[in-house]
Amino acid sequence: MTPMVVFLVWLVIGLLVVFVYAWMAVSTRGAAGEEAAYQALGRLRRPLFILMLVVLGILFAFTIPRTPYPKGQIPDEVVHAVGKQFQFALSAQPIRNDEEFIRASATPLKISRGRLVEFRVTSLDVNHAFAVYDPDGELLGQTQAMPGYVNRLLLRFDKPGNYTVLCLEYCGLSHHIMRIGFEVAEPSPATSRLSNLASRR
Amino acid sequence: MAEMTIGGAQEFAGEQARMRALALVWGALLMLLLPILGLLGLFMRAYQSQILAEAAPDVSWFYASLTLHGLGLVGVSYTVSFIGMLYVLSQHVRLNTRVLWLSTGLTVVGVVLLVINFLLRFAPGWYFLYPLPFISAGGWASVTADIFLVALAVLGVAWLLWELELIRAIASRYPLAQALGWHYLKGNPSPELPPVVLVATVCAIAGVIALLAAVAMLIFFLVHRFTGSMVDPLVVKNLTFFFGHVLINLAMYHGIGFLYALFPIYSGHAWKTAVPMVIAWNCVLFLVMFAYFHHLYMDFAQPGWVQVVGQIASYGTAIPAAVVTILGTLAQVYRRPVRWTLASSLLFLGTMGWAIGGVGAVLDSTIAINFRFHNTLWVAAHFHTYLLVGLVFLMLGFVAHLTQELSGVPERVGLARAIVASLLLGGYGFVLMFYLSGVHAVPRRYALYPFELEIGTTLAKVALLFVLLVVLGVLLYLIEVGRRWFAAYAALRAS
Amino acid sequence: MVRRICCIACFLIGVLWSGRGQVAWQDPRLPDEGAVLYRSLPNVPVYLSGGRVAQLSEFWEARPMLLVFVFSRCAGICSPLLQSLRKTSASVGGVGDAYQIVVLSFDPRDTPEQLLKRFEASSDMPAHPGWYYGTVAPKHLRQLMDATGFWYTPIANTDQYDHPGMIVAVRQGRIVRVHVGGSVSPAQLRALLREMRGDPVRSYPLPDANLAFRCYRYDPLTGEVRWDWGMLALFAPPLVGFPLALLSFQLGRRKRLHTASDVCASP
Repeated sequence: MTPMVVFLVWLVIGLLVVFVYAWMAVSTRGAAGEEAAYQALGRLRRPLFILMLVVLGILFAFTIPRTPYPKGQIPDEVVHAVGKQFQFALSAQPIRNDEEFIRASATPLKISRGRLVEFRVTSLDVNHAFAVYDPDGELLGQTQAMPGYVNRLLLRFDKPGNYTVLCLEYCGLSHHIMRIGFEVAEPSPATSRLSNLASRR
Repeated sequence: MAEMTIGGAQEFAGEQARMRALALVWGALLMLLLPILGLLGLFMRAYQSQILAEAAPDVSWFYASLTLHGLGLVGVSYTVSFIGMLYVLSQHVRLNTRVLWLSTGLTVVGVVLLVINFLLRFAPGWYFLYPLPFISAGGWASVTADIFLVALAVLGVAWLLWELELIRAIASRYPLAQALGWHYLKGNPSPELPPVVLVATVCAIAGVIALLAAVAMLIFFLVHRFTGSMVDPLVVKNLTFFFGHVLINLAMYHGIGFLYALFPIYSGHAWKTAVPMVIAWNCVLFLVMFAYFHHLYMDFAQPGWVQVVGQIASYGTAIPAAVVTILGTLAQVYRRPVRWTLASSLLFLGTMGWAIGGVGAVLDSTIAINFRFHNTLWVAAHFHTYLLVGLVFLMLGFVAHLTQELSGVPERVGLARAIVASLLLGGYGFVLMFYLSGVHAVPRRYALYPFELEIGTTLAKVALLFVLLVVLGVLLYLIEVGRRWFAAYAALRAS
Repeated sequence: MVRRICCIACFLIGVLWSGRGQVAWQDPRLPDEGAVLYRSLPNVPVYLSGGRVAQLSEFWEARPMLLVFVFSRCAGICSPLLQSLRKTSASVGGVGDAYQIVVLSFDPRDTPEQLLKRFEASSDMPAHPGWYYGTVAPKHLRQLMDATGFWYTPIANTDQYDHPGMIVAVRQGRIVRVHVGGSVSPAQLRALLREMRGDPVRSYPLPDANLAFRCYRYDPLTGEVRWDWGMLALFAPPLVGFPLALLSFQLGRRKRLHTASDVCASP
């Protein structure tokens, strides 16, 4: 479900709720207070319960197989992503300390289009979040960057262009400027070692 | 009911008077704190809209405001709704108001400490996710983290005290099985259990558990503080969200507790405990313990089964809300000669906000959807919906009812309608901007939005217009209900 | 004249071509796991003892595999590495069921029987189930070395080679871990096996931190996951809260039984 579809679902149900409430409120004008009306609504309890069970059950069955958690799929490459107040560093090599972080931050990352990339995300200090936005500003996916834990985020990049990573977990006064970019390019010998690897496969 | 001795009746009357006084004080606190904390919210949206331009203060004020606004309103929501629930519960059980006054005093102390911290620009956010309070990258003084820990401890003690007092009060009148309505499940509706007793029992048990989680969380913070040893951040995160999630849900349930008791006064139809209500609230007591996992969906290190349980529990809590409370509220209204006043309108519309916010919450509590919505403004959208146009409406409705009941001052109908209209239009317009921002993946808790997400700035500007409507509504409310409050206070003193 | 030149050229090309297997990759660095992670292994034929030939993919399709490069005349790291791996895999368990070990020689002089004789008791078959010894053609060896980062250099005036000790963990034909060293501990082997299973360890010890109160502690030596105090902290609130509520109601029950009159008026 795209974000807009989710919004429309919320909007439709929300408007339905507003309509029902408005109708109920209007029904009080000149009302006599019939017990039958009260009972009638009470009889809706069971159908409403069943309807909710069915709708939520379908939503559950449809969405659980689509969770973003690693399911044993093997990616094409790995990128180590580390957050530290208030920067990110991306590298094909592990980033374990400040020195490696500084070295990695200085090297821009390029990924070949079409690759399934596994981001191994962690933090060197506080809780951050690693959220990847595509060139059109659409949020592709995210995971938390936690000190002492590595979260593996798998994303496939089908669209070439400049991608942005924003921190999505409040981490301090410069939280809103914590970001990094990387490029997704068509596979060619001119791109990174990772791209060269693709041509061998 | 058993007869009361004359002494007992006098004692009861005294307790009721003390309860009314306590409720009035909390009504005043709501009318004082809600606007102040709300204005911090207005400041934040103004900051994000960039209309302040060169006049914008240092960004530390934004994040300090975010921290106080969040902590303050969660605290106000929990406490005021709790007192509202106790107010109606006091008709059925004897509460020791001394304990409640003590907790009130301690809460005020805690709030003062938080305000001091705000002035010192303590800004770990209102989630205060460990270890951020201690590792600020120079953002705030380390002493503020200590003050914060003291404030947490004071508030924790205050609220644990009155939750335990609530349990004691209910337990002195009802056995546990009866207080949870289990006799209804056996087909025996006698003795009749007032719905507020059922709700209060569930809330009290869950409240004690949530506060014990806060104790554990605080201990971990103190271990870090005094030993320098890093505690597992994922454990603390689990405890923080368990405590926070249960607390804010309890705030909503407290509101439902007094809704069950107060709304029938206006609808003229009793709201009685029945089997569906008993099943619903007993399920809620269980489900609310597990729903908090939805805050950790993006922590992929959490076990997979825990994430699925979180989604099931989150979906599960929506069902009792809809089939018992929402449907029950509508049944109270449908074709009934409801006496529409400021209080009854706000109580009625508060449940609508809860329903609409709940839809947004259920959607966001779906893991696959949360992957794209987590920590975007969609999150702020749904909880502002069921708080601002949900629980806040309920609390404002309670205070309007309380002051009216105690003062007997006639309502100014036109002003009441203007209040409801402003709050309704302003509130829903305001949250709609959050929803739209969330759809465009605008992050939450950003002082300023990046150029790629300029739509966030535009929507913040539009939101400001709606916030101003809310401000107008609140001002009018203060005028109307403030007038009643002073009259109620005078009447209470005279009696 | 032209014919002579062509013959010399062909001879030289032939020498160079056949000699490629003898020419080592002159990369003196230790293998870099990060550089080879998730690379595909080439599906090359492996020559086993008794004249059998199997494609390398037959091994990794059956179950995850560990790949080790050695040579039979090795006077250095090969024997200690294999002995360490044998001992550790025996203690950890699962060889032959959960995973298998493929030992390949990079010495073109080696035969599978010579490998077996050197590293196992018999020259006919491995004494340890789940272990396979084989050789590959020089051109396929180069492909494997390119994919894994393995290298070797002949040591002048000896029949020895300089090379790293490494164990490559392979799942579904892709490299998921590379262990470099002359031995492998149970903790290290378990980490390789977890990665091969697709169930990596998600936490790591923070430097300069003594993480207290974890939910669970993963013991790399035994592979056991034990609950830690953090789990108690998570469960303590409901475990304490519910009994506390029950106790309160019990105390209240006693008080109700002793109370002479009902003190609440009817609403």
